[in-house]
Amino acid sequence: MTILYSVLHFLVDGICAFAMMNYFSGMYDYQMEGLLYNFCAFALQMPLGVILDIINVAKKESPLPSFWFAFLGVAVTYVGAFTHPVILGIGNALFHLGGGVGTIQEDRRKNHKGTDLGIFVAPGALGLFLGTLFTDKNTHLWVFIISLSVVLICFITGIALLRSLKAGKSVSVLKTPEFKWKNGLVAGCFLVVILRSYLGLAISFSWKTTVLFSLIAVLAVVLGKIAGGFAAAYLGVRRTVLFSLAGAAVCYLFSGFMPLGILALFLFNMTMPITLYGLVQRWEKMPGLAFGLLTFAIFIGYIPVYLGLPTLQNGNVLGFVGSVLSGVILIMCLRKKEEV
Amino acid sequence: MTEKGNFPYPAEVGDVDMVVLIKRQWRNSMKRIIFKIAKCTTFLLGIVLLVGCLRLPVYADIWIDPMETDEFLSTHTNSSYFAGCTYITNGKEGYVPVYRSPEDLTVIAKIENNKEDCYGYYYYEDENNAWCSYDTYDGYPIGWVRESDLILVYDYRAFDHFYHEKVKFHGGEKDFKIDADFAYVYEYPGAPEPKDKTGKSSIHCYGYYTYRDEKGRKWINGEAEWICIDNPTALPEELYPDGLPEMRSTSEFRGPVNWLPIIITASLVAGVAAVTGILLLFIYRKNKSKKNNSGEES
Repeated sequence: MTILYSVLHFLVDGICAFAMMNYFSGMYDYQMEGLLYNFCAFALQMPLGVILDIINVAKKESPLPSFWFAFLGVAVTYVGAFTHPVILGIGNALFHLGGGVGTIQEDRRKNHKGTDLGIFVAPGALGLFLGTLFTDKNTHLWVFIISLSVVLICFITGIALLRSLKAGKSVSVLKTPEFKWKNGLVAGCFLVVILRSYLGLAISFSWKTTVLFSLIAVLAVVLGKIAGGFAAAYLGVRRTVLFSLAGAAVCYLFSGFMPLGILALFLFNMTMPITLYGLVQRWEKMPGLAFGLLTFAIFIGYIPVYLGLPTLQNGNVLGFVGSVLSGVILIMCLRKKEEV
Repeated sequence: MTEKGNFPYPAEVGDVDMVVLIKRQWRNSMKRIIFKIAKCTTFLLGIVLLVGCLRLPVYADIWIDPMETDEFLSTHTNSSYFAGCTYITNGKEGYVPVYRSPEDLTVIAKIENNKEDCYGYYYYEDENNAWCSYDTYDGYPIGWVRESDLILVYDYRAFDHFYHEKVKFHGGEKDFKIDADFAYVYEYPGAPEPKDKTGKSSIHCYGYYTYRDEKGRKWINGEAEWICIDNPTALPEELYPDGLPEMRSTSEFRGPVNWLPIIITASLVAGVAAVTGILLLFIYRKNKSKKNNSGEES
């Protein structure tokens, strides 16, 4: 199911970017509609996550509610692509919640220690990037036909997988956490995600002048998120946080040099699945709220950029400080020993 | 506790171990407290450093907003803003007086007529009075000039201000294909002549502006120049056969700071937090009543 949700994540974010850049660009007051779209897509996940948690508890942690949430989200996204950015954002939120919680349930079921989360969240950035590139009106129809075909295949595959799941072992079992987090975890993860969101929007790189370089930067982000999940699972959370953020801090200082800038993006994004997994561990019975709280933090991080606080050209210092601060916050949230 | 009082001093040999233990515990407690204080201080310093970096320029070309340093500007933030338009001096007596501020009419300098310069800040006093800040080379206001003593130079900066409501910014990347062999590049839509000609077949933009002129034609600005994407090879005579569009009067410049996006954003954030809180309260009460019911049954 993780792979299925990841493919859909790529498609949904791609369609959203595609619609915002092509159909809604110049049609409305873009500034206001951009705010409303991002609000619906990110901030609304918090209350919707609580609703999904209520439904999940009622359905005794069955994967079905997440599945239907995700596909309802996909359907609303496609409707929203032709109607209004608010509907598009709501579809995006529904899918992310359904797919995210579904991935969390599968991660628990298979005891993958959070690696599935990195696989789920990573493709969105690539979809977003590719969605902004399709501006040729002649390809619009093909984009929708191909993407809808993939959605249909995913839907059929998903139904088959759920049926086999029902027939086989029981659904997700809450296991004891692999490591201990301190009481400040919620606030710590919330702050780190705000920082990461803001830095992602505020920092620009002088070498990012062509589509190819932009694609390389996006791939660094995608691979960083995947790698973070695996590194935390197999090398330890504390070690991963320490080395990835320390490395990112150093690389950001010299990020004007392209290879180090790419490495900075890769290392900085490694902690993304860690913050999510940590919060999900903390709120075992409320993964929807955990997911939604962090996407709400992403929206908070976007606000300064939306309101026009100056973004820095080549923000070496900003990246360095942000990495150090994120590392300090996360390390403070971790106990000294990781108890398995 | 010994017979000699509350302080556990060694009355006998057996009490020495207790004293050592207590001293060790006290040392450990102090260490923990100091460590916690150090962690909190580090954290707070980090926040301060980060906020400081957000406000400090990283490079020399980043400009600190004089609104924070100039006394008049800082007390009139709602009716003044950065314009950066170019004017030619045109005073009644052959020169233009520079005043200390619109509220302090002490003349601090005089500029002779026909001098072209960039005036940074614009202050809108009322319908008949507007002021422009006379700045240093670095862009810091040192005095103020009445706009009526100046003649506006119609360039891209003036266009940015006259038509800012119709110019929309779009984030992200986009490729604009040019369906022609070349495209005329203008300093601003409605300029009297093109600035240049480009042979590019497409324009790749990282963030760009769009503008629809009076005839509904779409213009794009992705590289600090304007191209009429709907008719890229047209000259001004073809674009505006009835004459070039007139710039609006300067008294119609934008007014106070737009608080609407800030209010809307804050309301949305508060609304979402409130709704989530209500839902969590609902869950808490439901769980509580379940526990009470199961307690009663047992």
